[in-house]
Amino acid sequence: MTPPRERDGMTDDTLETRLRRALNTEASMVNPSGDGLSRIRSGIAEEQSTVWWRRPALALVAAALIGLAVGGVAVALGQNDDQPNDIANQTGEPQTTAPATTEPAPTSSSSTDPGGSTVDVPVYYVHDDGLALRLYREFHHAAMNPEGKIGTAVDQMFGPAVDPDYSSSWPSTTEVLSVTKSGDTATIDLSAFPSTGAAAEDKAVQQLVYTVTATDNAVKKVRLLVNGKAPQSGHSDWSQPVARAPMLDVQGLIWILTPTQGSKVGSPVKVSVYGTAFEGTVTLQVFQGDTQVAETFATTAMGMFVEASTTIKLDPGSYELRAFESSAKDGSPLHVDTKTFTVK
Amino acid sequence: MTVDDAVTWDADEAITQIYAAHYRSLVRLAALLLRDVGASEEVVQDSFIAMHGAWRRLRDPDRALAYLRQSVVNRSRSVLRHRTVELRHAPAPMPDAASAEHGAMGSLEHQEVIVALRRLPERQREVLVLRYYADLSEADIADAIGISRGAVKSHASRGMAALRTTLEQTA
Repeated sequence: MTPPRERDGMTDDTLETRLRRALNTEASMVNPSGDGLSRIRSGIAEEQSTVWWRRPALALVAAALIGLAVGGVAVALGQNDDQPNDIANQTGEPQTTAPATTEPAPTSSSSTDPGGSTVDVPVYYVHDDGLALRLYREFHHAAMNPEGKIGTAVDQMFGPAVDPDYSSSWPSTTEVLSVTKSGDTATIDLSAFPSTGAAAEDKAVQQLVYTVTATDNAVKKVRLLVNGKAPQSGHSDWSQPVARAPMLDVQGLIWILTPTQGSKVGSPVKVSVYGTAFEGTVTLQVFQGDTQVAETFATTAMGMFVEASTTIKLDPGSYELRAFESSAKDGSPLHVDTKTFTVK
Repeated sequence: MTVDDAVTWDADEAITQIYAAHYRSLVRLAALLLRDVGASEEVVQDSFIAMHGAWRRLRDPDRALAYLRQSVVNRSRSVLRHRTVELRHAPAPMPDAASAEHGAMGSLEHQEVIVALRRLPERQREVLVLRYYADLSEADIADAIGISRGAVKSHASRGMAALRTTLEQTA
């Protein structure tokens, strides 16, 4: 191949110089407004106020407050052991190869039960995996909301996650005003809408869409209303029903399914993950405090989401499991999910 | 300031220090991709907010800056994806307004380059902006965009070839 030099008098050097000068001139006209730092600080404060349960000192209090939900997670996952991917796979997207089922997650009560009963619902949260905000799922055991099973799941989504690394992009005070279904579309009227940047707003809407469509498999699209009207957004038009974005775009690339956050388990510990990684390889590391006590691997798949599991022998004690993909470039952890648990 | 100092920063200190050193250049980087200063500031602010949450894992100004660049490129792309929708529903001020002002300042010559750059596919434009404005190495560009170094090379050479063709046609 001939190097593209000296063609019609314009060399790469002069083109490079022109481009560099043009970009620098263009950039020099851009002057930030000067209140950036205070905006960032208030954004951080807002984030912290909605994820106060992240703070370790409060984690125990939070765990006590939502003890019922913690129990529900264990139960729900236990019931799902045969088909732990049924909800994640229910969209039937092409990258999903695990046995797909359109059966809803097993629940402790029928979804047509009147108020007063409890139900297990899938709830999606947001977590920054180091590169992007992505969606992660928990099961919550909760009292049935007057707006039915969908209302219950969405209401849980506005509250805290069991895993302190996860949070909701929605204001925690948001309420479900009504849920109606027509065909494959659910219309959900809410009392508030996230006030965030475009990317976070996208994830918040997908958090809602994933939660609703996982809760009711007949629903494929969600029409969003805020106090009866289409949401006012500075970023996007949400007046049309929204379907799930492709899993590879929005879903957490590596989920730890077991052990669940805060669980007490026997040894050997069954570790199962759900996800996708380069050459399928998910690194599993177990930490006690800052000390790594075990490392192994699980093989998922490349470009598609599958479940993989292994067992790790551990002495009694408290541990943190980290599951991630090692960067092909420098081995640094990508798409990290963590769970703390206790071995009896 | 040494890296030793930096690793003892807490997340709030990190934000303050890195903001002082890099906020303006990151906004300018986003603006070259987005042509909208307001949206660019928002993108960079959101990136700093995310970095605050990730500081526990970053703990190093260089890694934090790499994280911010990645985040700015990703979020800018997401804004661009939404722009068609926004323009259809709420006709915004002419996106070329800033450039028109520019032309009046007498730098028409560089304006041709910027216009040609805007016609390039997204990846090629990102690679050229990171290379010739941000002065990043091939490896850092690969990291910021999330592609291989080989892909950086090929986007750069295709982008330059397309720029040359456009500029020769208009010359």
